[in-house]
Amino acid sequence: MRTRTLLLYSIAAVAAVTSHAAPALFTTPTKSEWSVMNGKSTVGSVTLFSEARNSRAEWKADRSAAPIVFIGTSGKIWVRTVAGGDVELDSYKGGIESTIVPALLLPVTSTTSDDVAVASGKISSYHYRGARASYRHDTKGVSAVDLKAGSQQFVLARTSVGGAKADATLYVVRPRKAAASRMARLSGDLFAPSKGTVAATAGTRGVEKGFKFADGGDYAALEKIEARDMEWQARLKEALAEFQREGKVGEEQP
Amino acid sequence: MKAITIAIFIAAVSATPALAQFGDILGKVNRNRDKIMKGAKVAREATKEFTDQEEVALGRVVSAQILAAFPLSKNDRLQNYVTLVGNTVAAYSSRSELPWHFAVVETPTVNAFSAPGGYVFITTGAMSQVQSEAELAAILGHEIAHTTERHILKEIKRANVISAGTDLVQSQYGAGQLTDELAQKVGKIAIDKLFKTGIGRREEFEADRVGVALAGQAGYKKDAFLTFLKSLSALEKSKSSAFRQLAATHPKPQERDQALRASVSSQSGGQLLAERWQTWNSGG
Repeated sequence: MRTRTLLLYSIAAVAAVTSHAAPALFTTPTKSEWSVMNGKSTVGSVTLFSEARNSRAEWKADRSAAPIVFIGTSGKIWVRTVAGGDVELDSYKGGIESTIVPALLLPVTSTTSDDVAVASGKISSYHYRGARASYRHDTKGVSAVDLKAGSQQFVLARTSVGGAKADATLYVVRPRKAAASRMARLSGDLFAPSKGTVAATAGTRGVEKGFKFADGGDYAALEKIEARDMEWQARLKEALAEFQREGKVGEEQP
Repeated sequence: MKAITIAIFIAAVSATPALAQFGDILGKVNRNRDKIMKGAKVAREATKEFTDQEEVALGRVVSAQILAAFPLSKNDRLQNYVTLVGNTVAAYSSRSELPWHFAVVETPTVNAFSAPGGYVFITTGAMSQVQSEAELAAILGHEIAHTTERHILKEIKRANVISAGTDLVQSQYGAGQLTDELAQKVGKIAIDKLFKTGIGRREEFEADRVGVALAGQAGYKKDAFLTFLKSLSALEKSKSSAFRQLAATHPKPQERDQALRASVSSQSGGQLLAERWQTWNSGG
């Protein structure tokens, strides 16, 4: 009898600690800033908007980089792509941010089967996508996250926290359209007036800025192509990856 | 004194043929030297190696000429599509590091062009003959091959308009010695070759072979190019004016088919992507 009672208590205790219904990091609308360290190196920063059911994290690998937006809402995590539209986390082929950021997106988990442990009503650990996050708390909520991903260890430290106005538009998801119509937008500015500020050729590869010669050539048209491709540089890689994945060509061939 | 004068006279008279002979020899030497020097200059110029920057500078001149002849297509979808397919194939080329640019130009003429330094153009006329993405990949592969094998660049070298010592690109912000006059000469050579005389049968066959191989490496069905050649062959038979320029600058489609068939017939697999081509091409 005593053994059975003990077993029942144990089961009840485990059930109380482990739950798939993850608590939010902050239950009231909150904006917080986080630094992400790997050892002594800062690998990025996150601006986090949280509320009871939704979360939005804006990841920056460095200050000058454009943020990569992650949105956790309605039980799914989405990533906003620079080419336009949002893709589910599983379809996103990014860098380390795709492993780090989900630790902050609770209550939305990367999959419904993720292992979330709760103690005294607070998140204590979260196991997802091969990573394990352990949470530290202070009076304002989660103050730091120790994250182990493979052989790497990260510390996500909260650097500021404050209340924020409830803003439902932060969590609106716009799923990507079909690749063809999406990528059709990439060169929408091909026929816009040439920008004087844009180097006409691929300057990053050490090629000169565009020269024009009085030789009857149409250098204005040429510069439009070059300027388009220059502006594309950041987006082209991602667009190409998707294009090749869809067609099973290039780096995505079987 | 008189005897001395006579002796000098005799010596002079007798030496005249020898002098004349010596003069002939000297003349021959001079002429040969000129020939040798000229030959050396040609050899030097023919072997002048252009840096990638110089190649891009020349490519811009050639591209501006192509764009002066044919305006850019205003079909954004096709521009994007060609860029995506082109970059997919160019990544497998021996010069994947070049800043590749792909664009569609508006003309019913069925053709595609490449300029040094990574500029590739395809006409809307050629696009109208394409039936699958794999065909497009092979056409762009053909043009990429012209660039990787430096075919137009060799023609520019051969024309000897650029001396060996000419520094086309002096600094990051200067045009070096690529002047308006030199740009005009380079542009004329390239346009003559691209639009009128062609750059040589051997080079075209080589571009076919390399281009199809590149498309194959990028995962496209290699024999799709044979389908495109069939379309060209039909155009040729119909005596279409859209085919005239291509006929003047390329070997006959049947010959190209024969030359390629051996290398692609054994190949199986790869993507055709006819439906994707339709989707992009139809604006859907």
